[in-house]
Amino acid sequence: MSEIVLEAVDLKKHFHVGGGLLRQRATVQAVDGVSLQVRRGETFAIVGESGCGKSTLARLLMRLIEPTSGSVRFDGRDVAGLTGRHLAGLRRDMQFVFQDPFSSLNPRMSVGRLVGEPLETHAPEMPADERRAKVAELLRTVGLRPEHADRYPHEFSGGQRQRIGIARALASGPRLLIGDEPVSALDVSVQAQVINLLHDLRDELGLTLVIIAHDLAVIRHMSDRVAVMYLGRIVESGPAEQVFAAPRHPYTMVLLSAIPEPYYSRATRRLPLEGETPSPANPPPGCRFHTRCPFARPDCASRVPELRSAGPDQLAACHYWEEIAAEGPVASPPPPPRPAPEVAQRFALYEAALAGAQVTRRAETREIQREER
Amino acid sequence: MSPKPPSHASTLLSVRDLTFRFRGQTQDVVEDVGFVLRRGETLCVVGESGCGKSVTALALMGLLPRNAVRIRSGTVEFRGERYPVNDFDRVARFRGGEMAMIFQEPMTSLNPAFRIGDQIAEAVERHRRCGRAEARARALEMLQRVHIPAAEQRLDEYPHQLSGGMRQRVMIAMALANEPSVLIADEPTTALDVTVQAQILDLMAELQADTGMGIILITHDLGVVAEIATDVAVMYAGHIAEYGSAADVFGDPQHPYTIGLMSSVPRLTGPRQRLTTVPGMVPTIGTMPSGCRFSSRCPFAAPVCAERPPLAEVGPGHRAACHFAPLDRTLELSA
Repeated sequence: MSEIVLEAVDLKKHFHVGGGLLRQRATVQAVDGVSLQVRRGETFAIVGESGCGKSTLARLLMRLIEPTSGSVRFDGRDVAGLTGRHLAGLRRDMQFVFQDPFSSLNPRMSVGRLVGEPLETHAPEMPADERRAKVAELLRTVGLRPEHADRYPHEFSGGQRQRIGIARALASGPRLLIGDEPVSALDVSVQAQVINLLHDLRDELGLTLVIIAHDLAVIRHMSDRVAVMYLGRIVESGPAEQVFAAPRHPYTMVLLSAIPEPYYSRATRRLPLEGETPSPANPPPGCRFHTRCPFARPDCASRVPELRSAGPDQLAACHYWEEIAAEGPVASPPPPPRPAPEVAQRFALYEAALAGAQVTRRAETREIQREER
Repeated sequence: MSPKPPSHASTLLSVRDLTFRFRGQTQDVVEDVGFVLRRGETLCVVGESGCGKSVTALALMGLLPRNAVRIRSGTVEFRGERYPVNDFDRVARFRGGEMAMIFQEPMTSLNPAFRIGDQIAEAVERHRRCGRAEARARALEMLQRVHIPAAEQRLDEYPHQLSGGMRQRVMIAMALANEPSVLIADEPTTALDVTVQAQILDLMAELQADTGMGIILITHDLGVVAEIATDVAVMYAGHIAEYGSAADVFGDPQHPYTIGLMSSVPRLTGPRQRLTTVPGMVPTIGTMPSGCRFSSRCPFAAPVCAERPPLAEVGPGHRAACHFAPLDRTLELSA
């Protein structure tokens, strides 16, 4: 399990923006020195808020854009130099699932062609009837019906379209899927279906998943390990369960405490976060989070913190995480309240009925209810 | 911030029997929707896409295109006046003044070609007799009120110069400029990052505490609901599935849809297990099951569900539209 399948080493991507007759050109440090290792068969999540560079990082990992410096290795091979057949091989092995199922599918192509297209590219020698059979199988894999192949994307709901996107990504037989916010455009009940689907596919097909997302609760449910990004850098990484139970970087703490949880009347301990994310074109010196950190010390403005050990397999880029943890103002969110027994029973009934158990009406209530009405 | 206890404050707005359909369709998109909003309280209307929560708000604001909608019934009581929902002239008088609305995407709700100060001032001038200077002063006051830094300078900026969170603050400033007693907020924080969402929710609570306005918050996020709701209406496919105080809906959920929705939310705490889902998807208006509209996705659906269940009382002030409520007493696992 611990074999490294995808690795980034000191990856940087700087964009030059603006620049005109009288304007200074600015350099946006979208990704600024990111190193990470993704293990075979795991789900690795990259989480952060808008502008933290997570989508740029995903595109760098796929080599959809070229890094300014640093390298990406897939299966031990540097992807930077790949051309021709080798690049096509990389495209086959690594596939992308996009956020918006409404804009990422060509509306003029039938579902069959959308899902079959990667097969035409990566297995051009495959005969047409075999390809059709393969498309039908892929549709079944993602929970759609083979006869859907003749329909067009607009005939499907958001959740179904995302399934089409996943089928398309699976068509080339990839070993790694990168999902950029794969469930965030979906409704809660549908989102849960897609989360479960991705999880099942990973186990059935032996995939490795890299998930980019902003929703920490989704991440917690989907991933084995997580990296938290802020302004182009990873500020904390580690096993998901552990990072959520004992966050070490103040930004992770703030992020966790900002999420409203669906429990009524539970005391929330929200950490204050003032102001807005600074521009990545002009990031603060020292620790990039120091301008907003509730625990900032004077020297945070000058010394750049490196990622260092903060627990088993956990890293945090904070000079003072030990001191902050010892102060213990906030660790993880408080535990959920226990539901009343009759409410717990309702949830259990619901779950059992979904799983296919026979639920019947209690004989004695039929009469009572009829009388009440 | 802690949730407010249930209270018996005075009623600000009540809506009854709201039913309408889009022209050319044979089913109502919203059917028999009603609720009560009290002073200083927050009613959350929660549901997924297509449940009718946004069109309900637009109907109240008189913002649905008149020739595309047929309002079949609906009565509103607001400020001591009782009027039918399709009394558009009366609604237009309240809109932006006594009753204001903010939307999900502040970038598309603000005019990109005008300075934000002018846009707020326009809202002020629309509802009160005052000069430009006075309106502009009010705009500045409102920007300060929503904690926009360097407000004086921001007055002369354009929407694209602001971040998403700042734009939503501008929208709130504009909506509150005429001191509305009712604010309708349609997914006001959905497009924002969580840390910014937290700031905006805090701001709304602060302004509510100051002014006593009632807020109708439309959202799909149960976390947001748990945090700020006094009362909750759970909507599904144009019907109210469950209605009650936040304490009741979260502490004693009754409708299978409410239970399914709560089970599908990934959580930050508790055991990390496979998510329970609501199977299938929301029916389209053409494929709407008759009777209980949730029956096509409900694991408990039975022949009786072809009959529409009334939104019946399951406890004081707590209603659910399910033949089987309370589930734990009417249903059992057969061995």
